[in-house]
Amino acid sequence: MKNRLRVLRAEREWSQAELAVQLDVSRQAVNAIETGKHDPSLPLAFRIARLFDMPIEDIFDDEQA
Amino acid sequence: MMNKPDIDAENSSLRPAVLRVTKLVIASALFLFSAGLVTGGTMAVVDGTANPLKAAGILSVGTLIVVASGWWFWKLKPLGPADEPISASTRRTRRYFALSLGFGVLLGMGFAMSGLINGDPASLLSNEAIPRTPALALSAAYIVALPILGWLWHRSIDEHENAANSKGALAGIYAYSMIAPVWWVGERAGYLPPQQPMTVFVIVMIVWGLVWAVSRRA
Repeated sequence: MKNRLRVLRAEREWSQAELAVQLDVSRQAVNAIETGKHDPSLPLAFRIARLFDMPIEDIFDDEQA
Repeated sequence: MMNKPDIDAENSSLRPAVLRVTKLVIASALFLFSAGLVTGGTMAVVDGTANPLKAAGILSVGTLIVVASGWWFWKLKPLGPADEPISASTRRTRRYFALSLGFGVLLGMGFAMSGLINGDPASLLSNEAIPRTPALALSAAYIVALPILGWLWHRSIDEHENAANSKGALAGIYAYSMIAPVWWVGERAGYLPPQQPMTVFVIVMIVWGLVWAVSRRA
């Protein structure tokens, strides 16, 4: 699943580790989501959406819609 | 928030990473060497074969190096780059992991000591007989601690770590499903030696650990 996490993080000038602290996950988890190696669960996707104050579908693209 | 968008794993330079890994290897080697020194010294005292003054000196220096190298290893943050902020759950996960490692080292030392009582200097790697009382005590400690530490660790990990661990566990089950029956058949057909449960266990754990480590690496 594609996502805009890296772009949104860069816009706020956050490192992966800083974003990981805000989401209460590991830096490896953030990197895995950004590179598409791990699709976040719904609860984590909602946490990400709340953090960036955006709807989930503006961050994640399921490429089938 | 600090302005450091480029502090990602893929952007970190190679030289500090190599230096850090070198320090971690030295700290680990010092820890294992001094743990062995303390184990051997303790057994010499138990057997009554050591000069008391010399044994006291060896045990004191050994214990000091165990504590110092263990502290150095911990301060090097072996599970992540130094100076990087970490989340509360990641901190908890690392604590439980370190606790499990420490418990494993203590169990290993206890096992080695119980083997030494019977004159077996490498009981961790052999199938020789060991005394019943320490064997029962170590087995009970293992059976009680493993599910508790495992439960605490599983509660603290994030979903990415959990997915990586699950992949490793699945690979481990497949490894076991292949090794155990094939070895059993090979033994019965006479082209393989008798099956060694701990050898199978170690192989399964290595497969699990490798797949887990590769999956969590990002």
